[in-house]
Amino acid sequence: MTDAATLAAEKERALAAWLASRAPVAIGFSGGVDSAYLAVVARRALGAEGVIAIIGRRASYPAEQWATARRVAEQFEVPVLELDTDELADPRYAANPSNRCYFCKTELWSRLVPVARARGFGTVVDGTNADDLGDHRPGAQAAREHAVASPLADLGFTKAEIRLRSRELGLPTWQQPSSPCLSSRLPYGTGVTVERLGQVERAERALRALGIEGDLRVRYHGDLARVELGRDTLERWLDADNASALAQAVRGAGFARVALDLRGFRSGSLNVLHGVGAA
Amino acid sequence: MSASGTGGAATHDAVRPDGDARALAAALAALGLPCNVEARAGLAVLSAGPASLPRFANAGARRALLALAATHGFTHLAVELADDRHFDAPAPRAAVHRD
Repeated sequence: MTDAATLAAEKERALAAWLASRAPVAIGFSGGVDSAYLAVVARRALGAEGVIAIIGRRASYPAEQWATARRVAEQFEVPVLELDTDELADPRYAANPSNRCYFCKTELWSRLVPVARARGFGTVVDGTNADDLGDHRPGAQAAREHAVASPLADLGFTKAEIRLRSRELGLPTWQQPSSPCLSSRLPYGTGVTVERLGQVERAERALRALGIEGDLRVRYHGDLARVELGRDTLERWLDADNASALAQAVRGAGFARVALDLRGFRSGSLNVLHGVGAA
Repeated sequence: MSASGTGGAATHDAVRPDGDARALAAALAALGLPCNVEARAGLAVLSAGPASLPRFANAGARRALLALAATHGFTHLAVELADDRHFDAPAPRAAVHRD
């Protein structure tokens, strides 16, 4: 075992101990790499009675990610509860300011935490990891206000370590691209609506159907879709025939114009466009 | 819910000024890549026609173009994939509509 693998395994033992000392535990569960790993470790450490994974269903939650969440929960026998959230009803969220995530997470935790506590789960956790701490994350304040803990971050788990341990545990999410909510495709100041979220989701789904794997974002710019691909796949899609197919797929989702970003996928791309940095 | 700092109040975000589309277009033309440049705040959208796509395939060329765009105030650079059936170099457009 490499040093990195040894360190990651040690952190996982510490995580199991952390969870055991605070059981039973409810997890804000999205099916992303981090929360999937957290849920599976918790299930293994605490048993079925000691953990519950709670999914918040909302318009900005991609259907494919929900499907992944359910598959992971079923495969690893993690108890799941779903609840609906409605952050779009909050005009402060729908206006899409740069602290949009604060209002989204406030809506989520204000519904999830009482449900968890009513069922006897005194500890509520999320999948924030140590690499997230340097990013622009207004949602983190909402978590703090609702006493939601972030054990992966507290124990120093990097994304790479989570992926490494996920692979060891047989999680299908170990190499899954990051998958933030669909609202992240809309520039700050562009109102979040069900229609716009649906449009970007359809466009991304159509591009996956073309065979595009890895990092992918369709950024909404009104009539224009700006497509960000992984840098290792970008060249292929600048071929005239492939570009035509890509453009047709995105237009089919309702965009009049399609442009391919020449830098490729960049996490926080719209933060850069708006000059928004980490707090 | 806290009403302090960036948490409870919606942040009022400043609009980033447009990059210099005209200057970037001139610079690209000087490099033998004539195209329309549309500025959408920090995003430059290049319209150069389907035949120009191979010019962007090389990673080194893309890096050079990104650096060039940055010198003219753009943080993002994208090439439009025109509808082949009726491509027509578009005239420069106004800034993107905001709600």
